[in-house]
Amino acid sequence: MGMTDPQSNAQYALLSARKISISRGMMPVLAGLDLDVQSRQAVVITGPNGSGKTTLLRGLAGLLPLEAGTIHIDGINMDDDRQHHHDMMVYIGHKDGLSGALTARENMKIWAASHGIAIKDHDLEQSFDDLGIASLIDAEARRLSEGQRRRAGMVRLALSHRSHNRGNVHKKIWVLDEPLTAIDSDATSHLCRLIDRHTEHGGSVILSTHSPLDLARMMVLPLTPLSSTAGLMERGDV
Amino acid sequence: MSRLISIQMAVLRRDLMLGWRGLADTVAGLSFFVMIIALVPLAIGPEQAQLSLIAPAMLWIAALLATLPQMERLFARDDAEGGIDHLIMIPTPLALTVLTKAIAAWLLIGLPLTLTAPFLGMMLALPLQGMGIVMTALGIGTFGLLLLGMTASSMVLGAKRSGVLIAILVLPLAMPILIFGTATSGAAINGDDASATMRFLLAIVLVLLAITPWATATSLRHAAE
Repeated sequence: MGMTDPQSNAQYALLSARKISISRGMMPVLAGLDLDVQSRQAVVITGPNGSGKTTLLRGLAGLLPLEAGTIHIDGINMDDDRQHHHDMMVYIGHKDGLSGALTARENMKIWAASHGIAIKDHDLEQSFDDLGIASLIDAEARRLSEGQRRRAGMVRLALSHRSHNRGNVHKKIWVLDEPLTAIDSDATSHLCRLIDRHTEHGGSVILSTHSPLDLARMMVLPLTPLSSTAGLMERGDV
Repeated sequence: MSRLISIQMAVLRRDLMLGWRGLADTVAGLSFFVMIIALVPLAIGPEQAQLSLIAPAMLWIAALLATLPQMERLFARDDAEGGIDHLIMIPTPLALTVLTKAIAAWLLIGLPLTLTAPFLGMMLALPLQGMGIVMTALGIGTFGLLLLGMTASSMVLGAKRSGVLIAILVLPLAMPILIFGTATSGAAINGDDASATMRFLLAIVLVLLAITPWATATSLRHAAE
């Protein structure tokens, strides 16, 4: 993997999953799925409930064990180097993972510190502004509404984007499970802008959604229950 | 290495901040400890010889009972807020994060119990002689109890009535700590040599230290599935 120069426009596979199978309980959900996610690419996973979107994303995030197959992150097998995997990735699931008793600012500061990311207060404030919630930065997380909490949780994305050029690890892969749930159109457009900026700078985004989304450099992966041969499509094809 | 330490310091700081914000819970645990001890002279009578005879055992039983209700919260709040995923995604070994959380829990639960022990000892007509050893033993013992509590708490995530389950899981495993803790404290108060039993207590906690972080990490990963 010599092509990791973020300035280069050439694409390379940041994440490649080969023949991965994952079951929930006794039920096979994914069987032999292949997926390549390039740098500078946003992959949008669509599909009906139960088609395995969350399972796939949690599998890619290393939160579900693979029954078969391999996942390589930037050319390194995930099972060989978990730390590298966690360093490369931001995962945001259905729950935002904010501590209700702490303020949004404290939550994000601690998140950054627990990922070894050094941030400046200025970065932090800018990051809240990136999500359009600069005024909520010092609010206790439990006082926030559902949508506000989700936006506050996504400040992690802005933070990792803003901080990597200060010598921090570059969390190049964003894995977002239904990020549009509970957020309004203003937040959606903030998020889209953030994702576009990230892919423009060489990152990748993999997200699931039920709502139409307009992103630059976007591919769509339609999942059907028990997909094995799902392929990426240009967005015109859906 | 320094990155690993600074990451773990962030985990510690978070738990201490949460403990500080939820100070009522910590105080509640401590007052439970005080209450149990305060009941003893009322139940047994104020006779000093009798009280000081059972005092070491009462201190340990009270410490065990006071830590038990705290164990349920060790991971339950993280679980409810979606924090388990974030614990797993921290780029250092999960067992190490678990150990850091055990240290935070000890600072919030075990240390206050240990520090109040001499005052409660006075209620039970204990002499101050040997109290240093009693406190050391309580400090080590409560850390062992919390290590067990971490594992139990991670195993019952998502279960109903998890408090009862934790008690059933922890109490049998806590017996060696109780036995050697009480023996150490009794010997220290009587002015006997407590070093043999203290070493046993330490050995038990070291064994727990070698096993429970990994066991807890494994069961947290299962909970995240």
